[in-house]
Amino acid sequence: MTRRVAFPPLGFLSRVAEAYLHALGVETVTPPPTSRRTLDIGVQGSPEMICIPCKLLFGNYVEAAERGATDIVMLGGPGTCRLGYSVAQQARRLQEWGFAVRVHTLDLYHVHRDIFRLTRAFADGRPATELVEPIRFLLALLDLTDALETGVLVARPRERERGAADRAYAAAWERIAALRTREELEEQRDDILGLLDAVGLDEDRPVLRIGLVGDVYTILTPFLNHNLEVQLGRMGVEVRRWFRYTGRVSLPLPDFLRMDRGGRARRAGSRYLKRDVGGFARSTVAEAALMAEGEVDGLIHVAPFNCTPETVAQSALVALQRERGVPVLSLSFDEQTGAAGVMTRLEAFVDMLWSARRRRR
Amino acid sequence: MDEVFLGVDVGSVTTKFAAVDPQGNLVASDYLRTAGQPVQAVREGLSRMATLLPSRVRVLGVGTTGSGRQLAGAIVGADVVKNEITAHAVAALHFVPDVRTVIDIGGQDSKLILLRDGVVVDFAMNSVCAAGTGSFLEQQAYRLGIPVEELGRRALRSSNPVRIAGRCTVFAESDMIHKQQMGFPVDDILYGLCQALVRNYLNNLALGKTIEPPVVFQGGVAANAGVVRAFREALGTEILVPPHHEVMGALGAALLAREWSDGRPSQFRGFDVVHAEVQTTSFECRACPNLCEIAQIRMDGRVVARWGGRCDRWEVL
Repeated sequence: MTRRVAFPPLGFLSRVAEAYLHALGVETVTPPPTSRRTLDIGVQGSPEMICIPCKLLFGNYVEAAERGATDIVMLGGPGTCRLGYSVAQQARRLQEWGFAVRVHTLDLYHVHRDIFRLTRAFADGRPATELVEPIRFLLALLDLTDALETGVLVARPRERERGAADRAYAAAWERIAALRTREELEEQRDDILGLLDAVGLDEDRPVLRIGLVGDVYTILTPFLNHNLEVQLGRMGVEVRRWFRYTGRVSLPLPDFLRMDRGGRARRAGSRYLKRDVGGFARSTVAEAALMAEGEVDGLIHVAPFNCTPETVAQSALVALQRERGVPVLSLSFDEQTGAAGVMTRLEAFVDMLWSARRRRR
Repeated sequence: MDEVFLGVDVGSVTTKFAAVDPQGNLVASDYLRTAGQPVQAVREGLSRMATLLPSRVRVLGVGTTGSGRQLAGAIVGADVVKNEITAHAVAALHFVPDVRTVIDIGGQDSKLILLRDGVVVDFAMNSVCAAGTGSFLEQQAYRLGIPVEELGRRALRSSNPVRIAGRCTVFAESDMIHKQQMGFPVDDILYGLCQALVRNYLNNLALGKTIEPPVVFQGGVAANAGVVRAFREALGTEILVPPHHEVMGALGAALLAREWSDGRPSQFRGFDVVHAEVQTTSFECRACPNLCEIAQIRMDGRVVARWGGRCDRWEVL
């Protein structure tokens, strides 16, 4: 049987993964976007007290299997957080529910190693030399999508016509999804980014800058975060996500010698959180501390309700707020979170940041 | 001719109205139960305001706030639709210009707002818990057969409060029953309840935040002298309760409308809007698997607002 690989919906990352698999010549299955149905399945197949990303991911896996996936890439890996254990449990639950799928863990603590490992697994015995080109394509793809993701976040609050930035963004993704090789990508790169540049912007419009830190799954799942980034964009906020791919790869140097952004963030954050506590907590605090050095007007920290690592990060951010005077809004999300409460807090936070800026003048 | 700015605060339990003159003085206010029917509450309140105000009054602007702010805004034709945090902060600053802490406890939610030099610098809202709100006090007063208005006065008589378990209304209730069965005096239990509410508030909302005087306490629960006393004792500072503490959100909305106005024409539909036929319906959007529930508001057959979706597909009329 032909292999049909599915990657769970995770914003631009799943689209990158899919384009990469196509470049490898692997057939893929695209699971539907995370929805209420996903949640219903996830809740049914998960322990009540587990966090919401675990529940939704299980729903995502089931929906992928329903669409005919033979192989599912699961996010997790030991040491990260409960997700590390959940992967094993979810794999078993899929079998119990009668889905004959092979599961492959993408260890979030060893992304590079696992990309290579999964590439080998899906390449069905092709020699490693044939894999060099697809991997270079992947790196170029991540670089391009980084620019696109940042671009849409910058354009949204400044667009003259409401929705124009998101339409250009969607059109750009259609082009990216069709790319198969690095040559094609390099040829079309300027055209693709040009779609976003063509959006009419009001450069004089005053815009707030808010750093978005916290759990990556929550940030990349509009269903869960009540469309946070788009809502903020409409309120005139340029969102800065804490994670980017570009600049993440560095030489294995000790923190104090690293000159890249990651290294500077580590040094800025070490005052508030010295060691890894699982999940994205350490990176969250580190990036927040660096952004607090004058890069943003305020920080929004998002976390799944009762996420242990992000709860630790939240306490560290309280200290950051007190010491550096940077306003921090912490939001936690789960299936019970009402949209009204989120909107009220966002509006109030934005009002507050504007008055702070007026006062600084 | 008299000119006013109107503010409407549609909360989960009560709906509040306030009118200020162009100088910002409160000229009329009223509040009534939302009783789960915000549309009805807005219409009734508006007609009551019409009788409280001079008959030839001109409305220069309208602001709405509270959890029903969008709905109220669509019905009355609001110029400003603002979140409760901003509205309460504006109102508190109006009475106490150097206020540094605003405590607001309403029927179903509570807020903490920190200000420095007249600017909001931090805030918190309770999100998952009713143990720090007015509904809880009301429910317990009802259970003890005491009118909620009297609860505060009774609590003030307590000299030896009983410690009531906080954290959760369920724990608090069973602990109260237990203390009653042990024979503790009702007044001491009531003050213990007020202290539990304050403890809950401080542990949830004020965690990691510095509460500095002047402290303004507003919202419906500020009428409860027992809770005021418990805050004073817990914080060791004077607690200022503004004269119209229960309508502060509406007052803030009116003041925001006044700030917005600047001579601009208002969208206010007029007091006659109370006679319009308002119909709310809902449907499930099937455009994507999210199946959002879209609420639709019609006035005299015309759709005036839609919301509830995760995207803006239905929001454009």
